[in-house]
Parts: sequence; structure tokens; C-alpha cells
Amino acid sequence: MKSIQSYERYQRQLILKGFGQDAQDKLTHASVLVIGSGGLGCPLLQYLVAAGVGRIGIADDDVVSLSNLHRQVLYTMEDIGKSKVEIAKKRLQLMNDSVEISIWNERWTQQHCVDHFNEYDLIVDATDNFSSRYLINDAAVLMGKTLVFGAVSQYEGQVAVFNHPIEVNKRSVNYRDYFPEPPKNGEVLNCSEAGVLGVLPGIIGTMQATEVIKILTGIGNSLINKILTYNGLSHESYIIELERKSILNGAPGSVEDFLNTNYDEMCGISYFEINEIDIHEWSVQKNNFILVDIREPHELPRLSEMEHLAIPLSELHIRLNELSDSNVLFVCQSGRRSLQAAMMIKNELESSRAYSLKGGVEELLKHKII
Amino acid sequence: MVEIRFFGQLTDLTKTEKVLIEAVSDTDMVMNKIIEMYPELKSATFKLALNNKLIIDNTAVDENCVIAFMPPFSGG
Repeated sequence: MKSIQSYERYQRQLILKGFGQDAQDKLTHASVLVIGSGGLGCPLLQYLVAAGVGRIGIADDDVVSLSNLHRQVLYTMEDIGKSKVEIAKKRLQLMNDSVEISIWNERWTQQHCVDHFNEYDLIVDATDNFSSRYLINDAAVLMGKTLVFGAVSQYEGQVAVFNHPIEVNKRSVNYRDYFPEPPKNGEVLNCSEAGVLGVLPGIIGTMQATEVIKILTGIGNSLINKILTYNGLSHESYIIELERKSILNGAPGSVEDFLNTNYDEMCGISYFEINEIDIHEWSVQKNNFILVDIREPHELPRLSEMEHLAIPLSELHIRLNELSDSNVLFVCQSGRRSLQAAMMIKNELESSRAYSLKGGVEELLKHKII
Repeated sequence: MVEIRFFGQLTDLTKTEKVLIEAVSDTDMVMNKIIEMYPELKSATFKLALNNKLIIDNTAVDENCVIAFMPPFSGG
């Protein structure tokens, strides 16, 4: 009975030329660990479960919020405030109860990688920050795991397959061969700062699922030693070839070094010297600062009720003269770009003192200051 | 003419996805010229790809080649 049901469930891919029962069996016996069940994780989990990957692990420490719902399509309004992985597991099992699903409702750490990577055939990076991405990449390299990478930004996204075995004792490039070191904290904005079209992680997450299925079943050509960049506005795909120039690409060389690496610090160390001010401190010392809104003119709400200068970050370097000899408090949407602005002014305008408003305009809104 | 393409959030700094430049013979010259045109890129993180291939060291460029400026992406 079970095999009849199984045939019916997967019939459309079983009859597919080049797929068949053999590929289906490979999926049934495969295991995949997905780190992140947000914008990328939701669609890719749906397709992996639908396709019949035998065992799936999901890790995420976040809870569902209203601003997730435009792209994180496993969740509903009733789930707001609840654990993402718990809801994800419940929804996914309703779709296919023959898949074994394990969940970790906790922040994924180095120790988790060391303890659990070997329990899975393949790892998927569906996170949303550089600290997690470098951590997962380094662990995959150290522990000899194939990693399917995906990331989005506004209307664009990237997909790649890293560290896949290509010859005996030889693996394909990994993220460190592309960017050996992470960018400065705040330089590359995440979705909460830069925004993202809801369908974009849907497309990229689905492309990641495609790569996972291709690798597990051995069909097609995977994005090995390549990275694909997709643009949702033009539908253009741009593939670049990557190659390894040096074995010393910045990754820790041993499990011990890996466990001792502070990834958060590695991805944010350059801002340790910048003073962040919260809105309570600012409300007491308002007169000591010139408030500078470094958001672009289209970003809302504007600070029209407040005395301030509006200098978009993209113009800051040519308008530095407007800020000389002052205490400057930069503000942006969430407090990330204002760190970047403060760093810029610190390097270029020594006569001024630069500060960043913690939490940015979102914090001002929360406290009904605007 | 060499075609320069900007990806991801680099376009927030350049305000364009594409620009044509001339009189360049290698990627270091391209880099200098582009940073002159868009000084904001000086402090940005990116890699260059010449005709769809990541380059690390200075490389000669031909007429009609395409050079992509690729930043890292982190969102998810």
C-alpha cells in the first residue's frame, strides 16, 4: 500500500526522463541540513520535502514576525511570535509525513556544526548574515561537506555549490575562494535595511533546492566552481567561474582553530571604536549633536518634525564640509548604515566626532518619537 | 570599449548597472578609472570578473571585454 502511495506521490518525477525510480531512491536515502528557515529556507524546504528527501534537519532561532510574511511563505498570521522551526516542521509534515524532520530552535554555532554536520549528506546555507555564512562555509570545508549557498539582495540573488568532491582528495572552491574575508560590518546591507522583493528569495531558494536535488540524484550540471547571480528585474543570469588561487584562503585549518574563531567579531570588528547612542541618551543630550539622516530621499518616514540635515550616504563623501567641527549623530533606518557613515567620517574628518543612533528610525518609531 | 557591469548594492553607489570605458589595457587601469568615476566604490568590497571569470591578479584586457564588479550578498 505504501509503495503504491509513494508511486502516486512522486509519479510526475518518476516518469521524468533521466530521473525515475533510481533517482527517487537516492532522494529517499538522502539527508539534508538546512540552516535558516526564513526567506530562502521556506521555499527550499517545501520543495525538498515535496520531492521526498528522506531526512531533513532545520535550524533557526527566530520567531515569526509580521514583516516576514511577504516572503516566508510557510508561515501565517496566526504564527506570529511562534518558533519558525516548530511551525515549519508542522506545515512540512502536513505536506509529506514520510520525510523525517529534526529541528533546532537555537542559534547555530560552531559546536552545532562539529556535532551534527556528519549526520547529513549535504548542508544548505539559507541564513541572512555574513557571520553565519563564514561559519557554515568553514565548517563545511573542515568536515568535508558539500554546501549549497544562496543569498539575496534587493532584486538580485546568488546561488552556488561549494566544496563538492570533484576528484579523489580534491574539492571544488568554497566561499573563501571568492571572498576570503567578510566585508566590513554595515557595508553590505541585509534585507531589513536594503529591502527585498518577496519573490526573490522564493526564486533563489527554489534554485538552491534544484541544486540539492541535482547533486543528490546526480542529474544535470551543478554550479560547481561557479556562482550564479540572478536579477529579478531583467531576468538576466550571470555566471562567473571561480578558481582556487591558494589553499590559504583565510579559513581555520583545524577544528580547534574553528571552535576558537569568533565569527561575530570577525564580521564586525571594525566598528568597535564607533560610539553608538541609544534614544534615551540622545533625548538628554539632543543639543550637543547635529542629527544627520543618511538615508536616501525615497526612504520613509522622513524626519520632517525634527531639526536635522539630510545627506544620503551616497553623497556623504562630497558633503563632508557641511559637518566639520561638530558632534554628528548619524541616523538610518535600522542603525547599520549609520555605523558605516560614522566610520567614514572618523577616517576622513578628524575634527568631528561621529556617533551612530542605535536602532535608527525604527527605534524612533517604536518609541513614538516620530 | 570595455563594458563595466555593477552588481548588487554597488549599483546604489554608482547609480547605474553599466558603463562603457575606453583606453584601458589592464584590470588595474580599469579599477583606477572606475574609482575616479565613482569614488564611493573605494571603500566598498567587491571582486572583478573578466569575461565571466573571477580574477585576482592584474590581468590584460581586450577591446569588447566585459568586466563585472561583484559585491558579496548576505540577505536570506
